[in-house]
Amino acid sequence: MTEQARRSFHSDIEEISDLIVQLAARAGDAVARATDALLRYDLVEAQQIIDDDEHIDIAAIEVEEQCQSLLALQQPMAGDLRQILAAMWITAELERTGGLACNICKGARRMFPAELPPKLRGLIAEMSEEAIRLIRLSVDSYSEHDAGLASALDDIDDRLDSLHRVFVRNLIEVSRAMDLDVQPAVQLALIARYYERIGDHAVNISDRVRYMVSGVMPWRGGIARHATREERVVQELAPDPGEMSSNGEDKPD
Amino acid sequence: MTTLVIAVVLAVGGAIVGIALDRARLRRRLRSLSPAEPSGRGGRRAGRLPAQRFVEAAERRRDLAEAARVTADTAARRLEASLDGLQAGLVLCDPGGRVVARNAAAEAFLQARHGEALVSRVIKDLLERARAGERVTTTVELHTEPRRSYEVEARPVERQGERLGAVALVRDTTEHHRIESVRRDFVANVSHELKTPIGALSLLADSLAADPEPEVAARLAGRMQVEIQRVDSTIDDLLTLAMLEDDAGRGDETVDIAAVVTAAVDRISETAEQSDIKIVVSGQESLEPFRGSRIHLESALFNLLDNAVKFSEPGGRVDVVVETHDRDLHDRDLKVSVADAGIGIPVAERSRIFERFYRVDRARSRHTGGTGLGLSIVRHVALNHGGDVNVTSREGYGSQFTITLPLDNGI
Repeated sequence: MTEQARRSFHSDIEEISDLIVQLAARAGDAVARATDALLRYDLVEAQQIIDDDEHIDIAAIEVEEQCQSLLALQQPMAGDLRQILAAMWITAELERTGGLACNICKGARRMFPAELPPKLRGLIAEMSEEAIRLIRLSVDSYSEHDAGLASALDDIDDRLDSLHRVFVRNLIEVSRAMDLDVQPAVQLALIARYYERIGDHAVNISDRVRYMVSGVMPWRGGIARHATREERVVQELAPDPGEMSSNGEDKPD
Repeated sequence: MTTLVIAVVLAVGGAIVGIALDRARLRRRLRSLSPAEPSGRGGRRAGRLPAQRFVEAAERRRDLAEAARVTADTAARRLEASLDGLQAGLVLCDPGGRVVARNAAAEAFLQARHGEALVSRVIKDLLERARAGERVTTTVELHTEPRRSYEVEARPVERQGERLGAVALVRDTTEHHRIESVRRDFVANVSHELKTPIGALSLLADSLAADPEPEVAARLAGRMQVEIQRVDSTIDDLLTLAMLEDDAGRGDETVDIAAVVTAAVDRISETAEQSDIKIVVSGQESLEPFRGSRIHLESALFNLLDNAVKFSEPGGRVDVVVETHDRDLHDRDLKVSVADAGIGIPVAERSRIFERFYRVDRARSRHTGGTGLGLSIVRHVALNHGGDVNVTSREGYGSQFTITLPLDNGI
């Protein structure tokens, strides 16, 4: 490879990195907007967010195409190859995050015009903040090639998981007190799950970052993680069977 | 504002072009000095040796080149420094789309990683369009906390028909939008607060005139008094606020904060008892005396307590904590916080509750009473004493308001 070609190849890789940062900014913004629409009962804004998701999809395809052409034309190796592979995976995770923001909006639409009890509103705001923070941290670890931060993300995600459990517990209490109809209660349970999933996608991104930096695939993504979760769920289910609905359906990612 | 910035940009563009022209002129003069070409003053030097003439010319040429370099350098540095001083971000690209100049503010956007990365994307897109000859403006809203909004404007840079590239300008319009909505909502809210009781009064007066029955009349008159009370307290609060804004509220007496807390708690205790709400005061017993206005500090604290009680569930609890806190090595702050376990304040409203007449839930406000000015008063009292007030809250779990006052004020 000539000096000239190598320089342009690396600026291409840098461009992909910029595109991913922008895609993540879009996805994080969509989550914040979705929470806002949900808490303000703003159906027009909810529809707008669903429409705007197309921009995220287009941006994701843009990254993928760039990655594909680099793979085909430059046949990169080692670190360069890992960087491009990681970019493709991370793009998919961010695209899903955008999709989950849409799901939150659809949930908001289905439960309209039910009013949310204050405690659940507070918890939704907090889950949203936490999910956005996780996206930010995963992007930080990606741009800085910071494997240390990336491996911390799974533990940081525990806070979102526990908020999710508290939310479900509160939701059950409120529903028992007959303050909430079945439809909004079901929608709220799903919405809480979407936030929790957004956190999981951020953790997946950090797994890819670890792979990108070290070349070793972290043994936490699939079966191992599922097993740990199952263990945790079994322990926590014992005192309060009411939480089954929130944790019993965990799938391996 | 926009026109001003545009003017600056054009001036800067002109200056860049100007420097280029100056350079060209200097280059021409240098060429004319070269010994190979005969110069106008050649006759004077005719008697000298050719080698000597050559050396002199070379020296002069070197001096001029040095002077030109210094001039261009200074001009470029001056320009760069003044661009970096701009709050707006500025990106200049050449006709081929390569970024040739950007100031410090723009650099921050292009390096940004989270929300602002979207702004850098918009800058690139708009520059692309401006290079094609379009003039475009877009606003970018960022929804992650803290919310921000930006205006990006791009236009082609041309001089005498020649395309020199394109320039993009980014302005942070967050504060502008905030002030705009404060102003707009204030007018709407103040008319609402004054018109509602007056509308009620007019209806009640009509009914009173139509119905001479003494029993009905007494009831109507009673309700009129309630409405009059409402207008009266709104006007009272407005006057207090006006006085505080005039800075006349900055008192200069020695205030015993513990006594202020006790007085405010005493005033609210009856209302609190009615709803079975407990008020618990804790914190430092002995506090150094503080200089300020006792009446205003008491009214600020009373307003916070009033809100805390109003938005608490019956049987709840309100905590008042007084403590000092080291701001840094030399200065200390006095912090008075009032915490409730009530309904809390939605995230989006938190930055606006200190505005005059701002209500989180207008439907609820007639029920809970109050003028909608309480928190504005609190904020002004704190500001007048050199401090501030802030809020943390979690919906469904409660709110905590903290007044921070510097202990060294005015001493």
